Amino acid sequence: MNFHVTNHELCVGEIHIIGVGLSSVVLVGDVDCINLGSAFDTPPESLVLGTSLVPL
Amino acid sequence: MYRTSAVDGVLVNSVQSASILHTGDTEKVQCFSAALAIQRERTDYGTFDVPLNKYEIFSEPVVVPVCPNVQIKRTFNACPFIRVGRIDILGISSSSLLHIGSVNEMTLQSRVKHIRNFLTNPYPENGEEEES
Repeated sequence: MNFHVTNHELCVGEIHIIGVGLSSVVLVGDVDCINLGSAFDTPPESLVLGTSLVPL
Repeated sequence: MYRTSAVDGVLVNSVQSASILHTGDTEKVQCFSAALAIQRERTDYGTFDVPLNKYEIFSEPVVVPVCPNVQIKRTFNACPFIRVGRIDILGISSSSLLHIGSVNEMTLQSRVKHIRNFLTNPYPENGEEEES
């Protein structure tokens, strides 16, 4: 298989973004390879009672 | 091979927690951020030492597909420019990036653990139900 890409004119007026967070990308340009990974943990067990925060 | 990015104006309010605002071409980008977000009932000021390795989320691997080295792709740039008028971003955080220019390889990773810390049980009724 041959994968042939032709880039013609690309013109953007304005970009408005509130937030870019947790390993996200705003890219104005070309890229070959992107690897993004994110782990987010808020289970019910994350409710901790008392003064000791560190798990045993 | 890559195109030239032309941006007229950039307005960013904040860049924090292992984040990048980069103009120009890059060969490789690697960002890592580990965050422990603790919501507490009472605020205790002073030093706060919690070892991150006690939590599983900071040690377990995040599985990301690996890009194969593609040899079959051929790119022809009829117009060698990417033009953007204005970029307006309020915040960039937690190993994120705003990149103006081309990149060869990019690897970003972030891990967040949220904890709600109460001194007394805020849901005493639910707790009694579970026990009975």
